[in-house]
Amino acid sequence: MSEEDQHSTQPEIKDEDANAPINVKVVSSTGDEVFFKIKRSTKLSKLQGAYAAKVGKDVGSIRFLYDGSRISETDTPASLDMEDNDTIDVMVEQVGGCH
Amino acid sequence: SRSRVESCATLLGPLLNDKSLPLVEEACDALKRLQWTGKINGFSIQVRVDYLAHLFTTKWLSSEHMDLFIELLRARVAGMEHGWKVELPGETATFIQKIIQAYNKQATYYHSSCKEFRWIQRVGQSLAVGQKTLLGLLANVRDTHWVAIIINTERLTIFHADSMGDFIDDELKLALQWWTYQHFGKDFNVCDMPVCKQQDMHSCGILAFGALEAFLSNDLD
Repeated sequence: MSEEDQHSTQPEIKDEDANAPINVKVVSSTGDEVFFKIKRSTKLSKLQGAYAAKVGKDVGSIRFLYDGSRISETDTPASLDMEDNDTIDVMVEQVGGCH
Repeated sequence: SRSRVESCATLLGPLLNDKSLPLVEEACDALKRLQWTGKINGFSIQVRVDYLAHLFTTKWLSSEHMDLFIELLRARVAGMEHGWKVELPGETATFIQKIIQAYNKQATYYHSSCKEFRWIQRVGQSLAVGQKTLLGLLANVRDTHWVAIIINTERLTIFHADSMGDFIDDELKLALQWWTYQHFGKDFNVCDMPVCKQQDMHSCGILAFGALEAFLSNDLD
């Protein structure tokens, strides 16, 4: 491959990488782990729905956090700069009144 | 509607009279004008408006309420002279859970391939380098009770406020002492901090927040 070919093909490789699936670990508050493979451009709401279905919970009753911040409906792995083998935390709403 | 007002009036029975019935109607009209669906405006997190109703009842408060309280306190602290000292993480109950998770998986905390504790590592590092010296948290213990925690890095102390007067939960204590040791290489003491005594079965969330707010206000003034 000539130097010119390498240059001309490089952007395509980058595009492919940008859309390549990444592995994401979803960790519950009790430490249970579920693994997903998701494209970087796919909305994480899809993963959230799949996780809720897998654990048998209403998606509205659980919160998903990435790096300490809630994941919004429009977020994607790309928009959050997620990397391969990154972790999403799942939080179930907690309540308290007395001991 | 008139029928709802009348049904309320029936329930309230003897307390109502010709003078109070118009007041009930007025209150019902006011409630009809309030927006009781959608999200609460003005916060970074999306919480349904109906969560506000819990604040007027004996219903137990949730982690959503604690996060709203923390956000209000963060705004107040930011206006104080020494407010820069204070770290008040959002998702406060989850922050504590992450510390406990890390405590239960100690071997992986600093493992280069482990990304699940980046959040608490980042906060721990900001405390260790002195960017912040006070970390304020509201912790849920045993899935039933809210307590306040303040870590004062200058005094190497973990302050704990329990409105029921209990000692700090063993797992919480060990996890917090382990986590602070990871970032400071020193043992932190645990001390109680002032909190109003709880005399009912539902107010620990409000009282824990009150303790956190009062302690920080006194410390920063």
